[in-house]
Amino acid sequence: MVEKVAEMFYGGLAKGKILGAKCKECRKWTFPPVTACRECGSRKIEYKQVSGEGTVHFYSTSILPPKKFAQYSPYAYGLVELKEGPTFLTMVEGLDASTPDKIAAGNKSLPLKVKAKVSKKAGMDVVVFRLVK
Amino acid sequence: MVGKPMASITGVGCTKFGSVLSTPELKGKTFHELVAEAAFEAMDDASMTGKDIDAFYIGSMLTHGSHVYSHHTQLCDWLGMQLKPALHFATACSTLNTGLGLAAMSVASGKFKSVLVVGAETLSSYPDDNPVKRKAIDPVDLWYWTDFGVDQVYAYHHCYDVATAYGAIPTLGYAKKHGLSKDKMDEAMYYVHKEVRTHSSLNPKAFVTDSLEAAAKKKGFKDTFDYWKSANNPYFAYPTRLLSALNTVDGASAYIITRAEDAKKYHEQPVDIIGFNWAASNYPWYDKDPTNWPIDVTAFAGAYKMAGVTGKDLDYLTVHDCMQIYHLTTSETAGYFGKGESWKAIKEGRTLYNGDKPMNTSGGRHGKGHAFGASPGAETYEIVKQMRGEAGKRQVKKELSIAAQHNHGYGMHAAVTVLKKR
Repeated sequence: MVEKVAEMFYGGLAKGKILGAKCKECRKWTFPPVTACRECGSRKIEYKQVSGEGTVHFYSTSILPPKKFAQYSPYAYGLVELKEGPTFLTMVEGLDASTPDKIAAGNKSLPLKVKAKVSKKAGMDVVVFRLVK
Repeated sequence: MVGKPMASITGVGCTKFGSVLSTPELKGKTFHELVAEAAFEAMDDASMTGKDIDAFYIGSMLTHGSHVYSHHTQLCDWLGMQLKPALHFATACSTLNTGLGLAAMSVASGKFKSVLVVGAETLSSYPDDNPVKRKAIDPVDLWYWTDFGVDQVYAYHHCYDVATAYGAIPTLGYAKKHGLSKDKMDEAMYYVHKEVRTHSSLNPKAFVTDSLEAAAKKKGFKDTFDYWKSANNPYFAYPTRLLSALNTVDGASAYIITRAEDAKKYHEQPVDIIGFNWAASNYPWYDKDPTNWPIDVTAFAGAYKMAGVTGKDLDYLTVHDCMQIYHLTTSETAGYFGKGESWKAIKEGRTLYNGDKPMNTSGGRHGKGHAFGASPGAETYEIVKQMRGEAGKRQVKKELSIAAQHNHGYGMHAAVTVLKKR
């Protein structure tokens, strides 16, 4: 039986828990969780909370965001490396995406530490990151 | 040692790329007619008819523009191939590159002697409950549907932004990795675009046929770099400017694959498929180094191994350039240039049709235009025409023996095929 991973992940977010999958064979993390290990393909995985700690390496914003997220535009969409290893892209709060010059300057200050949080975006609980002061 | 031919390309076809709403060569044509036009050109090129070909594979990605699925049943009689084995397939924007390997395996297995592969896409508009009346597609809707190709459980709902992920971050990554200032990086992307426009302006089947010089002049600029930096070319996703991005178009492309030993029966200058490989990755496509894509590394390594070549053996390279940063990053992954070397080579004009390291002479996904699944067929068409010496004003000056074609298929798939002039 395959677990309802998506429901578990989004249900977890509603309770403030951010779940990933840890492989019992190669010990690598997959984030967000799917039904097998992204690294080695093993189905022997356990769903566990991630630390939420990470590092943002790059970010920018576009003039044609998907219509679902147009209401937040311009927003910083960043490449985050989780402490557990996987990379993930989502909104990063605390980075200035208001103008090209601000984005250029902001990227010069990277990498910076970030912390995950659950935030409602376009009606859904999702994971975003904020800069750690 | 260069590998033996697995199968051969004996006919190619490609429509003009543009809009069925406005481009004179395409105006008023249905999806079905685009398919037939490209396929018939390929058949004529190989001196074959639908009756002579054992099977056909039709590639197309976006049903929202064509209002078609089960493409193979709807098109078989239009192609003169009623009752022939046929199927629809798709790997998004790499579809017709994937078709090269798929058809090569089909003839190499002995099941078929020949296969027609045809791809088509209509992205400007859709038939509005009437096959000859079309309604324009809003670009926001087009991207909403296109984004069905990216992880729909997680990535899309996490504030997904394709232009940043596919254009901006790899560009920022390249600049950082190779110590290029923001101005230097912008200048590097200008030279890539200059190459794109030089090529597309020499390609009568391209969507963008005016040169960068002509476009600048039209807006009152004498200097093309001033035009590049002007408000006419805003940042789409900083540091990626609008002119570094794709143009979505309508169009179709086709080729005929035959057994290598039979190829000369159909065309006196066959082009052999000597290696291919594919790799699929869910999002994200890279780790903290956005210039290094595991799918590309894997696809090139497998295709080169099969072909018995390295990047240094290539006389020509096509990279998938929905965003033009891939002229830099992918040409380096391909080993066509050393790491950090491509931007200098492009600035020196070495990747132009008359340079010593030609690339993307069709004009690529901005200049030739991007008809998603059909796009790679336009690049195969280009390579075959170049190898035969039939590329007209943009004919590559150097002798072409070995070429590699790379495409990305949204979500993300990498397909690499290595071709050799017989």
